[in-house]
Amino acid sequence: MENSIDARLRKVFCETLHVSPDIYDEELSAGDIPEWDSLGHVTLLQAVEAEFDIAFDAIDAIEIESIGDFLVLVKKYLGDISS
Amino acid sequence: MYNLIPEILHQQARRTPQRRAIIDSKGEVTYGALSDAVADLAHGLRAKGLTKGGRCVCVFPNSIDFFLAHFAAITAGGVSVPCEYNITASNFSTILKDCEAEFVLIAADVFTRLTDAISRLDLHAVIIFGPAKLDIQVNGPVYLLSEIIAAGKQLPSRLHQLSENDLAAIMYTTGSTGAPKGVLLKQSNVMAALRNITRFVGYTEDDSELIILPVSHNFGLGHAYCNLMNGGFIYLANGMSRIGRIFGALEKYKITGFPGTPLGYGLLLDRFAEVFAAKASSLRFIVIDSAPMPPERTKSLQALLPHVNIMVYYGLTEASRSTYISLTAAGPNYYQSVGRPMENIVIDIQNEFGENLAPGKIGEVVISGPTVTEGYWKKPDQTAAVLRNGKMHSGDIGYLDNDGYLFITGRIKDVINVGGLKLNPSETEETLQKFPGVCDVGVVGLDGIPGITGEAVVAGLALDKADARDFDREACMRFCLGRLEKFKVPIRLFILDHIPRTDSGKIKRHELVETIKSKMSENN
Repeated sequence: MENSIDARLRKVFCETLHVSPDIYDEELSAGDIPEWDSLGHVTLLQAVEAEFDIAFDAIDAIEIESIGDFLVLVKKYLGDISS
Repeated sequence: MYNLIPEILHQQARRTPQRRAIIDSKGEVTYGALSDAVADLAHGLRAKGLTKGGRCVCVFPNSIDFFLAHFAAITAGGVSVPCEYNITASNFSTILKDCEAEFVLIAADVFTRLTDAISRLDLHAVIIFGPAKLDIQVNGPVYLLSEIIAAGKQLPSRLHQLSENDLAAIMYTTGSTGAPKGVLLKQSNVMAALRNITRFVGYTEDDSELIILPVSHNFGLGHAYCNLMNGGFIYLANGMSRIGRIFGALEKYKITGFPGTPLGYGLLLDRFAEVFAAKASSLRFIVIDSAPMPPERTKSLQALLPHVNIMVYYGLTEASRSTYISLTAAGPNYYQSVGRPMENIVIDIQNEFGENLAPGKIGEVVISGPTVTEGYWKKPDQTAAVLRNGKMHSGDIGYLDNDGYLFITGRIKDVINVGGLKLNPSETEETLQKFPGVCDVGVVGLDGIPGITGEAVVAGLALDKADARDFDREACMRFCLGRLEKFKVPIRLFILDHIPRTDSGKIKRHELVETIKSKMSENN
């Protein structure tokens, strides 16, 4: 399941920001690459929500800075949905 | 009032040395400490051979280091050439060669990325801010900042004398097309603009500003200058991608000013409106630049922040801060205006024969006054094309109303010619923007569409997530046909992930054309 979430997030990330999968890393953060700018960030938020059929609360969404943050939050929301 | 850029920092440091001047992601600095460091670096630059008017290319993210480098270059008698930290190697190489740089002052991580471009040139020196390996080979000595500061302290050189007519900066325009052009800004150009902004915004030492736009561009840099000139402080961030930190700074530092672009405010309104309002209780003013904000957006922003003075200015790097308006004071009837001319600025509307037009008539916006540049660095032909009799031909189309308010309706070069009928894409864009589900739009003219002779109007649409799957193109076309003359209605609509825009929010029309062409070839 974890691998599946990670793989799906990697795909969404690379397709949305039009970057190579090689760059994908949990430590990678907004602003680290030119593609992940303000507009890219909002587009990415929407794409991740669409991929996992979830909607982040604004208070959670504003704290997302890295791919690792996305992973943690996606897992939390999927866990909330399944419970 | 000051007459030279270095006085901004120097005088404030004498008055309030212990006051906070700048905060960035790594820390903060007082006026006194920054002024001292600027003086040491300026002396160090002279000790290493900076000539009067020598170009110092400064490549940094929004940071204290940028202001240290920029002020030091100008204080030493050089000319600062700010570059965006995420500049491409190709553009950087072009700028380095074009401006005939003497020094490169650069953040360590950027240096690693741009070493190739730097290594091809003969420079007096490269000065690296931050920890870095010095075994990288370039044509010229490479120093750490600490070494130059130490040299400045040990051997204070006599700084070049400055005057109001000296060149202070070359700002390379990042326009949506073409090779970068260096706009020449004299000390007097910059200071005239700063006096105008200060007067209009009403800065005091109690103001603090959150600057997310690149300070390597005139918009962000101008706000930083004004704030420092009046004894407040600035909080620097690099864009809004780390939005939690932006909201945190607004609240923690009781920020009073937040300049931005329509694109940025659009993102805040669409996604984080409630949080923004909750965190922005100390905001006094917002200044919008670079592109017109749709009136509906302005209305939403004002409703969200009723206590905030929303202002707009119009200007070019070549003629900074030409007109200004408070939309809050002027009211909804003026939400599409960019205001009236600043003091000492004259705005004319001219036809293609250079004749001034009456109020209400649409023509090219022509600007004259003390903020207008003398031209482009070593580009006499391009200078002559836009600067005639000291007046800057902006390339923008617009009109003045009977009360002298300026309205911008488009760009000359963006005009689309449909079988002899000419239209400005902004009118079609404004209409499409009102169709439910459309969150951003760009309209361009395209040649070579099968079955169509000449240029045809096409639109790229970025949609709200919820509407993307069920978007009704036919209904959208009918919506346009009911509101626009037929030749202004796009013949094709292309759904895109986003509309390509510059950092300042302007549509990159050439890139949009290429994106749409590639969509067309995918579909064929």
